[in-house]
Amino acid sequence: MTTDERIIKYIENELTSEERIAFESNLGNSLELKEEFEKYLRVKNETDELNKLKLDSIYLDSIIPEFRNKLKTPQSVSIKRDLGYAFGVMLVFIISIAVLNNFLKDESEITEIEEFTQSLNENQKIELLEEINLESNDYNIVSENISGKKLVDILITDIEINNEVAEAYDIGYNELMTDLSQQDIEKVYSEILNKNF
Amino acid sequence: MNVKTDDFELVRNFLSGNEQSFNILARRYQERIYWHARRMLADHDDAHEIVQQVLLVMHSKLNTFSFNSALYTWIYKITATRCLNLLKKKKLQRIFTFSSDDAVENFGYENIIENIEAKERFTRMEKYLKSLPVKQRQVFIMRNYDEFSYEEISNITGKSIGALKANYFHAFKKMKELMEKNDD
Repeated sequence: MTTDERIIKYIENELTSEERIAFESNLGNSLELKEEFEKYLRVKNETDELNKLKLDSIYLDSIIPEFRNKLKTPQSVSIKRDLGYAFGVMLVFIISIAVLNNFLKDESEITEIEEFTQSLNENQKIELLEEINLESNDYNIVSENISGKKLVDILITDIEINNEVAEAYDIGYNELMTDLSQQDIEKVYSEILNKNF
Repeated sequence: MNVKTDDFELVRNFLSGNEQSFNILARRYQERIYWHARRMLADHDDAHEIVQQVLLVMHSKLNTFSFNSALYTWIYKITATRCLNLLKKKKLQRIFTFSSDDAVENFGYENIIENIEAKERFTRMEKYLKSLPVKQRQVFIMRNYDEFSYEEISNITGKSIGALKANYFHAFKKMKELMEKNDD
């Protein structure tokens, strides 16, 4: 326990009886401790003195009539506060909907791709990859034994690259495969090769 | 009949429709509400506003008082919360209006404090208290002026007794240093 702590605890009557006796003994022997103690005691005494302050009776008598007046008058401040809260809540709600919508949209897009790839049998998977491959002779994608997940990843990458095209022309997913321009196909190939092979 | 029982009876009477009972309760506690707010906020107008707010809340929410604790503890919680809210609001106002803490303070004591000799000492103490961080100020006021135990303060503020004791120690030490500095 530091000296300051001992002094404060002594003043607050929080020392044990043994600690109290020891402190009082130290107080008698140390001038430095006595000076510090008196500074703290002064704080306590000032505080106690000011506790005796009383308010003017005229002021006190005015409080309840003013309160009664306020009770009769509608509180405009609380209406403004309520409107403020309502606006804040509405704003948070709109932002949450926008964020959730964006999140769900991505999720549903991936789900659609997964469902699409799962619906394909092995021959259809090979055909799809060969079709992607067919448009350009410069690249060869390994089509045998490709896992469902890998195919989904390739298609997702493909979708991400071609989203701008799809959005601009309102092209459905299935149409992407047949309606890609040479430039887009090469772009897809580059992305797929860079990412996967 | 002790104060607690008397308070409970007045509350019950008020809840049955007796407005005079509410006035009695208000008169009983208005000064204590004022002084706690005044010491926390160091401003007469703010303290006065808090008194009015607390009375309005009491009037509308006394039906939620559970009679599990003393009425004053319940009133005190409202007062302490309102003071902290007003301090936060004033802090935000200062940020957005670029004003400083040195803005003109309304001590407003000339007409409301009876003991003229104590006014100067009170003003000085008020400045010291205002220098304390809010949490330290709150526990120092509740221990020294409102004479609550640590357990009662813990119940009102929701802070642990250990945290309160630490804050009180630092507040006491800071007050001592401020008084020393003022003497120099």
